[in-house]
Amino acid sequence: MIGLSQYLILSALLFCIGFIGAVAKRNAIAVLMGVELMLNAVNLNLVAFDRFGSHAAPLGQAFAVFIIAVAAAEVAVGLAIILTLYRRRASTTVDDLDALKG
Amino acid sequence: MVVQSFLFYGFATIIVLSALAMVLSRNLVHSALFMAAAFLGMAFIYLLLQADYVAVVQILVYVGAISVLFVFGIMLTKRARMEDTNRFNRYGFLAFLIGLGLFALLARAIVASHAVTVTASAAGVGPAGAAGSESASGSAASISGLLLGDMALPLEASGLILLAALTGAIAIGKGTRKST
Amino acid sequence: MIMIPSAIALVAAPLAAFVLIACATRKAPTLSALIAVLAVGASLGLSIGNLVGVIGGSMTGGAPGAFSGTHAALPWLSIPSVGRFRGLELAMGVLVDPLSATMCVIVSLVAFLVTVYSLGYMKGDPGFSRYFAYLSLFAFSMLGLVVADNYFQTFVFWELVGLSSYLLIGFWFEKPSAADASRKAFVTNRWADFGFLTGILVLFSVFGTFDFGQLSTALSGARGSAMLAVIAGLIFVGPLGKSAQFPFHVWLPDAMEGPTPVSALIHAATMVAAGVYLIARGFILFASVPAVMETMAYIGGFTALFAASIALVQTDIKRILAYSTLSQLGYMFMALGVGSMSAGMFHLTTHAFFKALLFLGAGSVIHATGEQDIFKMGGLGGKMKITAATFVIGALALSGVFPLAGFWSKDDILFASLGSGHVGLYALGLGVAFMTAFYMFRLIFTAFGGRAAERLHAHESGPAMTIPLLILAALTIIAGLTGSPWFKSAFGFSFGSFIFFGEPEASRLDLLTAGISTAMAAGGIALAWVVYGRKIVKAERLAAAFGPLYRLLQRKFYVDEIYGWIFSKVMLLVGVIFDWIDHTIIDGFFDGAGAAARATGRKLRLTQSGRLQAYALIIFAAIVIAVVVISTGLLGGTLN
Repeated sequence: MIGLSQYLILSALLFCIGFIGAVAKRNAIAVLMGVELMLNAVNLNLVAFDRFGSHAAPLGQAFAVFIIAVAAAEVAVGLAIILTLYRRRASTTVDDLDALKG
Repeated sequence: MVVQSFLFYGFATIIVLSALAMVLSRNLVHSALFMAAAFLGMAFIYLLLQADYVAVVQILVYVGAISVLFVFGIMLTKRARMEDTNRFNRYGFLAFLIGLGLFALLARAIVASHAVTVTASAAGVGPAGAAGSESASGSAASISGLLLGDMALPLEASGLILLAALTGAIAIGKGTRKST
Repeated sequence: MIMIPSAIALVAAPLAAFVLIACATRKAPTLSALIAVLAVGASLGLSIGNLVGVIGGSMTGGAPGAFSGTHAALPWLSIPSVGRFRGLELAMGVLVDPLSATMCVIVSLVAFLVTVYSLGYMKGDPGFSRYFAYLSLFAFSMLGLVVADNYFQTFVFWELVGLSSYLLIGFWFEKPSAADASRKAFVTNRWADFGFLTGILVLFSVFGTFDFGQLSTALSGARGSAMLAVIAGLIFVGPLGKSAQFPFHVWLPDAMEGPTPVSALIHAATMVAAGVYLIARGFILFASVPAVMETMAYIGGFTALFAASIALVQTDIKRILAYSTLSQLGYMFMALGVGSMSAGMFHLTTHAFFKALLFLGAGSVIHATGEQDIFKMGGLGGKMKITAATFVIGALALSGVFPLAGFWSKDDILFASLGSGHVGLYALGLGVAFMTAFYMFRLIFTAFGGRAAERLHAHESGPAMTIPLLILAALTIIAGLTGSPWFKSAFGFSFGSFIFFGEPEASRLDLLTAGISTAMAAGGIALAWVVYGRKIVKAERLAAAFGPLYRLLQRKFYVDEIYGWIFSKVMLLVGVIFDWIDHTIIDGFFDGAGAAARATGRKLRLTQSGRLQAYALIIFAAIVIAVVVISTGLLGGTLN
C-alpha cells in the first residue's frame, strides 16, 4: 500500500542526492542540475501532500506548476550566466569563482 | 494495489538510479541525459498521484525545454574531450556525509510521523477516500480554474518572471561588444 | 586693637610687592627694590603692632597665658560627606597669638634688614628686580605660614616657601652648581613633604578637621594611640626636611650657592626655622606621643653633633655657617623633644638674630674680598672694622657667652634636657657647645686675625650693608635678656611665660649649669686661639694626627655619596625593573591581545573561502546538527 510516507521518502532521497550534486560538483552546469533535482523533489512533496490531504482545490499541484515555471526561468538565466563566464574565462569550474573570499 | 506498488517502486528505482548516475557520472553529457531520464520518471510518479496536468507540464517543460537547454549549454561550453568534465570538488566526501545525515533526519521524521498520517486517513479525513477525489482531481480544468480564479495574481506574476528571465537571459547572453 | 585685618595685611603686602615687581617694574630695578623694601617694612610695622597688642592682651588677662589669641577663618572648599566617605572642609584663616605674633616680628624684621642689606650687596646684578620679586614672594610665603590657622594652609605655604627657596638658591641659574643645588633642595624637601602631607591627611581622616584650635581641643587628653603616633611621626617628617635634620640635611650646605643675603634670611633665620615653628604650633599633637618626642630629641642631638663635627674642617666661610645652622637647629629640636617648647622657640628667636648677623657679616666679607675660602683671607679685622666687630659679637653669642642672646637660650635648652632626665643629651649639648666655640673662632682668627694677604683689597662695605649689621648686633646683645629673670621683674613677663606649652616656664639663672656651659665656650675659644690665633700648635699637624677622621669629616661622612649611590643603584634599578614590567608584561599583554585577535582573524578568515558551495554545505550541516541536537528524543518514536 503506497502511502504518503513512501512518496515523502522518495522526495527526501531525491532532495539529498540533488544536494550532493549541487555542493560537490566542480562544473557549474552540474551544480545547476543538482538544483533542478532538488526542485523536483520539492514538487513531488507538494503534489504528494496535495493528493493525500483533503483540499477543496488542488493547491499543491498549482504550486508545483508555478515552481516548474520559475525553475524554467531560472535555468534560462543561469545558463546565460554560465555561458558568459565561459566566454570570459574559457572554463566552467566554479572553484575559481571565489571573489567573495574573505 | 499490487500494480500500484509495482509501478511506484519501479519508477522510484528508475528515478533514484538516474539521479545517482547523474551525480556520479564523470561525463557532463551523460549527466544531462540521466537528468532527463529522472525527470521523465518523475512525470510517471505524478501520474500515479493522479496529477495529470502536472505530469504533462513536467514532460513539456522539464524534459522538453529544460533538459534541452542544458544540452545546449553543454554544447556551447564544450571542450574537445567531454570525458572528464564533471568531476567532484574537494567537498565530495563531506557533502556525501551531510547528505546522508540529512536524509536520515528526514526519513526518521517521516517514519515517525507515519502513524499520524495513517490514523488521520483512517478517520476518513484524507487520502484515497472517495470524498476528496473529485475536488482534488488533477485535471486541467480544476487546476486552471484555480489558476485563473484564486491564483490569478501569482499567475500574472509568474508571467512577469518569465518575461524578466527572458529579457535577462538575452541581456546576459548577449555580452559586451568586445566579446564575440 | 585690630589684629586680624592687620595680620592679613602684613601677609598681603609682600605678595602685592611680588606681583607688582613681576608684572610691572621688572625693567626699573630701583623702583622694584623700593617697592620691596616698603612692603616688608609695612609688614614689620604691622607685626610689631600686633605683638604689642598681643602682649597687652596677655597682660590684662591676669594669669599668664590667659590670652590664647584671636582667630578668623573663611571657608574655602567644602565637599560634603557622602555615605561612608568623609567630606572635606578647607578653610583659610588667620591666627594671632603670642607664638605667631612673635614669629611674625622675627620674620619681618630679619626680612626687612636683609632686603635693605641687599640694596648694597646685589647692586649691579643683572637680575636685580627678579631678586627683590623673589624676596617679596618669600616674605609673603613665610608670613602666610606663620599666621596660618590650620594644617592644610600651613602645608600650602610650606610648599610656597620651598618654591621661593628653590628660586632663590638657583638665582644665578647659569651656574650649574647653583641649579643643581636648588634642585637638590627642592627634591629633598619633597621627600619630607610627602610624609608631612600623608600625616595631615591621616590626621584629617581621624579627626575631621585641620584647624589648630579644634585639634587642640580634640587632642587634649588623648594619649598614645597608635593612630596618633602614626600621625605625629608622619607630620614630624616635614620639619625634618625643612629644618634640615639628619638624614634630610644634605640640601642646606649646597644651598649656600645662593646669594648670601638669601642664605641669611632663608637658610639661617626663617625658613629653616619653619620646621621648629610647626612643631611648636602643633606641640599638643607631638607631646601626646612620647616616642616621637624622644626621637625628635635624639635626632636633634645627633644632628647637632654631626654638623658641628663637619664644621670643624670646613674652609668655605658660608659652609661653616651653614653647618653651624644645622647644628643649632639640632639644638632646637632637642629642646622641643625634651618637652620645652619655650626653650626651642627662644633659641629660634635668638638664633635668627645672631645667625642672620653672621651671614650678613660673611656677605660683607665676600662682597669686599671676592673670596669665600677663609684661608685665603686674613687681617680683615683691621680693614673692615664694623663687619669684624659685629661678626665677633655674633660668634660670641653663638658660642653662648654671657650675657649675649645665645647664652640664655642655649642655657635654657641644656637646663631643660638635664631637668627632663636626658643626661646624655645634656653632655652632648655641652660637647657641641665646645665645638661650636672652636670652629667659630677658628674662622675669626683665620679670616679676621693674622696678616693680610697681599691680593686682598678689602674695604668696609657701604651703609646699606653695615647698618643692618649694627642693628642685628644690638638685637643680639639685648634679645636674650627677654629670657632672663631681670626682664620678668622689670616688665612682668618673660619669654617663657609668654610663649609656652602647658605651663609657663620660669626664667632662671642657674649658676652651676651656666658656669659649666660658659666654661665649655671659653675652652673652645681658647683652643682656637692656640691653634689658629697664635699658631702654637700647627693645624696641619693636628690634621695629620687625626688623618682618617679628618678625611671623614671633610667628606661630610660621605652622606652625599651614599645618597648618590642609593639613587643611582637602588632607585634607578627599581626604575629599570618597572620599565621592564611595563614593556614586557603590560605592553606584552596588550600587544599579545592584539596579536591574538589578528591570529584568530587569520584563521577564521579561512572559512570565507568565497566558494558558495562550501557555504551551502555548512548551512546544511548546521541544520542537520541543530535539528538533531534540539530534537533528540523527539525523533525516537514518541511522535504519535
